[in-house]
Amino acid sequence: MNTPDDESADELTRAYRASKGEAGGPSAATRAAILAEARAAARRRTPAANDSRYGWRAAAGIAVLGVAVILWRQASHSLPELGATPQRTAATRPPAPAEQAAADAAGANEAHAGAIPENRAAPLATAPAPERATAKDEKEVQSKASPARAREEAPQADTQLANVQLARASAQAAAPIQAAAPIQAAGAIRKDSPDYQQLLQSEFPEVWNAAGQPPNVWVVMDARGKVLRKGTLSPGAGVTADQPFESQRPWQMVEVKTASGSSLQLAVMNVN
Amino acid sequence: METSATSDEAMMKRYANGDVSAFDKLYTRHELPLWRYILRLCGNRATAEELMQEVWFAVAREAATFRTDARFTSWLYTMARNRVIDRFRTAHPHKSLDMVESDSGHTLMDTLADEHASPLQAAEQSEQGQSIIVALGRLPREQREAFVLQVDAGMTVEQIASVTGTTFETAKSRLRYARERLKDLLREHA
Repeated sequence: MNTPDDESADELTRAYRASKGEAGGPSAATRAAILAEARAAARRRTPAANDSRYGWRAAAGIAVLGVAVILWRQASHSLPELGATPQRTAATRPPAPAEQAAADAAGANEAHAGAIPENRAAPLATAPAPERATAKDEKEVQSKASPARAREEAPQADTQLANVQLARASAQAAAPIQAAAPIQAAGAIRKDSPDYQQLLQSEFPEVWNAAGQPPNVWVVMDARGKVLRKGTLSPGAGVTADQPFESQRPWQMVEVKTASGSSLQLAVMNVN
Repeated sequence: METSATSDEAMMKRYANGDVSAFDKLYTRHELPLWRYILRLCGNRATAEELMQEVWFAVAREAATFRTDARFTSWLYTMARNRVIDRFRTAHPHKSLDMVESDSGHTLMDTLADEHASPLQAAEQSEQGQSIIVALGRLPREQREAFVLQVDAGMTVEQIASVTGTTFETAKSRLRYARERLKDLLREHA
């Protein structure tokens, strides 16, 4: 309930509001000056914001930037990794043969080389790299990796390939070789793989029949198991399983025995 | 009813982002209440015009620094009040600032108003009388200010205290005294 004071107060307010017209308002000039200054201040803050073309320019700039990013990403993905591979780390290296074989046997293809127990890892010997072995050499050898050309140019390509792989092996010499986990027995070879001992016998008869310590050997095979190129390494020389040759394709290391029972390393690469 | 999208603070944000139409709406909304507040305080139309322009120029220039969590009305009227006080200090550099805060019947604003032929005095002599305006002009400046902020700007006691830099109780007392004094003056005039 309102008190007389409240009613009086309301009456006071009503009386004041009824007489407010007396004050009028600011002059038109003042009003115009204020609104003009407001526009000028807004323009000063965002010079381009009131420009109708600003939105289009901004959108065009963003579009150009997007296209540039897409082109750059495409270009970077299409570049070969040859130049970036000599110091490949353990985090990026492919599974070692022993692990691969064990994982395949168990039906677990996701096994990783880093999970190899230390007692199963055996370092491979390395050899000094030829001084002229370069990534260019490797690329040239790779470009000749097609079966037809490989057969035609096998002698030259063999030499180049051996140079490249030895250079890579040398580059890895300073770092601990953990990935080179050779298969300890022929029985560990995958069942769906070719018979590597038979392969050794047929492709490297001199090695198969060698007395004493045989040299390590390498082969490049197609998907059907056909040998495209092959070669031997100097005694004591080898490749490591974390040495990808063509893009991300690694060497697969297999330990095989000769006729006399001597063990040697067979480096296998499968190409399409 | 004012929604969050059309609130003063939202309009200030829009203006700070370059939307000049938001400023136009804001100005239209506050033009007359602020004008009356300035005019009642300084009592001179020409001075009020200048101060009105100064205040809104400041609003335009400082829009980018306005915090949207602050209340726009309080910010606006505080700026206006400070400019009125600054104007008095400039016009009367030798007078004590104590006068600014004096509760006596002869405040600095009254002094300033007395030096000019104010609309309040003109109104007093007019045919309509405008008795309440005359009575308001006779109130101490603090009481007059509190009354105008409440009736014209629609502020709460708390907001009035914030703008005038006083406590809630002080602002409330000033309002009460203002109303009592106005009633007395109106009775005398009748």
